[in-house]
Amino acid sequence: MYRYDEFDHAFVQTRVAQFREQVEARLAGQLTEEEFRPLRLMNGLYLQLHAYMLRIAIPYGTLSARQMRQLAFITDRFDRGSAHFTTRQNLQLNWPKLIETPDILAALAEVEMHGIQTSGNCIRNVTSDQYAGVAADEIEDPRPTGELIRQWSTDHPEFSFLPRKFKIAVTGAAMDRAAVAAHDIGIRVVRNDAGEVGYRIYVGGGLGRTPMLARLVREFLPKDDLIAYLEAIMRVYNLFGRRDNKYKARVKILMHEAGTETVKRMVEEEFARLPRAAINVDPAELARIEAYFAPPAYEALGDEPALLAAARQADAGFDAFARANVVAHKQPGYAIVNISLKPIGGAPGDATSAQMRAVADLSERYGFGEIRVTHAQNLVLPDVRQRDLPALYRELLAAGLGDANAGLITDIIACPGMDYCSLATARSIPIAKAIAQRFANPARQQLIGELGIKISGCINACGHHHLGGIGILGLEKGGEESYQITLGGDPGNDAAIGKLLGPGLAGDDVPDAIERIVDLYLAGREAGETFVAAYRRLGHDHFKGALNADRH
Amino acid sequence: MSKIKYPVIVVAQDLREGHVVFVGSQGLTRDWREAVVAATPEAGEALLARARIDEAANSIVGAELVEVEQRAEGIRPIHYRERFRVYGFGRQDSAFTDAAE
Ligand code: SF4
Repeated sequence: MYRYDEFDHAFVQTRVAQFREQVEARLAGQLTEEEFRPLRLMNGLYLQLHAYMLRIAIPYGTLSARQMRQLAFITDRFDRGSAHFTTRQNLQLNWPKLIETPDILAALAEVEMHGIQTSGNCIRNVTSDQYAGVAADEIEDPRPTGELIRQWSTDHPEFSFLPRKFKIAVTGAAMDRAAVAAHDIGIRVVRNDAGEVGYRIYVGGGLGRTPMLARLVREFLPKDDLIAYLEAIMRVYNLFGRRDNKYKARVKILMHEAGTETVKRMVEEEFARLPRAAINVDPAELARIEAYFAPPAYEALGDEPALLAAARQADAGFDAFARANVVAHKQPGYAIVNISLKPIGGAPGDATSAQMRAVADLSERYGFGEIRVTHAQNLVLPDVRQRDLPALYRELLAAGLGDANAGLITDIIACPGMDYCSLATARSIPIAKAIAQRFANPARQQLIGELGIKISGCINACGHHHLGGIGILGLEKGGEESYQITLGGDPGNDAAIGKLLGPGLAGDDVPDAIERIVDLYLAGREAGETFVAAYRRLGHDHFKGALNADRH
Repeated sequence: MSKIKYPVIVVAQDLREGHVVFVGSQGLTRDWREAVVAATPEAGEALLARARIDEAANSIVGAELVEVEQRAEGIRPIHYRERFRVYGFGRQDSAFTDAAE
């Protein structure tokens, strides 16, 4: 894993000390709330409906066991014993106190963590494929690129006051698991015809009020040119992006209004003008970063099909777990294990401090002490020996983490919604709970197969509802919560924005409507067809009848 | 802003800890049952003025008027968002049954 250098350490420590002074100044009345708000937001501290909320960055979704234990400690000491993993691979504390936040930040700094750039109009935490470095379908580990971008964008003077927040995702695999098309800049590691590794660059994706998928602006960018090219994009955006209207300030609107070709040309012109040699990182520095992500000391093992087949035969629970939660590893004899944070009836993405500690312990005993956080609000143990899978499964079960539902209908993504969030127009979590309860039967979940339900509590779309095979958006209508359903969204290689099915429903009616949508899918699907594939073949209108009983 | 309808209470948040507070007859309170209800614009302004003193003293933030109705069992905020906020986290946890009903 990447370790901070002296500069990083000094920077984070300085920010902690600064924030301590700022809090004291606020409490003493030397700063007004208006003056203080941007300062606390710069450190990830929000004021929500019932309490403060601290957002902690987990760059490219990678955590060490030590960091996870420290997060568990912080959760116990300064919160109510549980915390919430978000769709941006961040962790949110829901009940921190302002007066204790400097201590929390100091405790985070001890393990090289912070809440900087998790808020505000800056380049936010870089997200990535949760299987980075271990996926069987990977061209190259995207995390050194993520780390490079983190270093370049952290406290960058030119990009600290952008027209709007700015999100970058990077993936190195054939299958896009980082939803790059939904980001302001999406980066895919690719190999060109000559066999060289470089980047394919997409610009202008984003969800929210005006959902758009990013467009391709560069088919192949040599690796060494990344920072200069990103800088060119940011300059064009900074100069031409709109600052007059916050709803039009994202780079996606610039792409839309100026046109992809124009933006592409402006970026290329800027790129040609920039003194690349001075801006790009020294290849030696990239090599230094890459060394931190070198593969761990894998044992020379063979795959264990017979052992696993016998274990699956003997235990139906393990069989379901192996099918849904275990993924192919690039290294023979190893597997990637998804740990679901979606127990039936739980709040999606929540983990207790005891569970966080259990995962930290398991990551050391069944791996190399590394944990990943997924944008689907689950955790991953990236390096499990196949022969250890049955034992790991039993331990996960004992910790309340054995749900065999990764990627299935109860693996619901939901933002905090009106249970916590001051921007919300409706609740998300109770809807997620009600749907999960409706589909709790494991056999039924397996029958339905891969299906992503994603729920947002307002138009800001933190729950990525536009990208859900079934998306649910909570709004207010006539003084009550009202839920719009969209179908056909897809975060992956064939990224798509979901299409609205019809008028909003009352919350109580949502599970019935979802059930009717699922029934229409099951009745119409061909063998092996996923929900989204069937939706594309059957068409939107096939599902229209699902809402009729429940007009709201 | 749409025009405020009365009666109202004043809702704010504690600066140091973040929890929701109300202006009560004995000063700030965390219990919504103790919130002073203002039935007229003048009474509402007076209530808000009391909260502004606490804001100026850096003990609370975000004081605002919240519309309520009076019921036999106590006040009920008109908007569901404020019901969640006033009655408190977890009170609305059972799906889609109205808070505190
Ligand atoms: S989508 Fe809206 S309600 Fe949900 S977390 Fe984001 S801002 Fe809050």
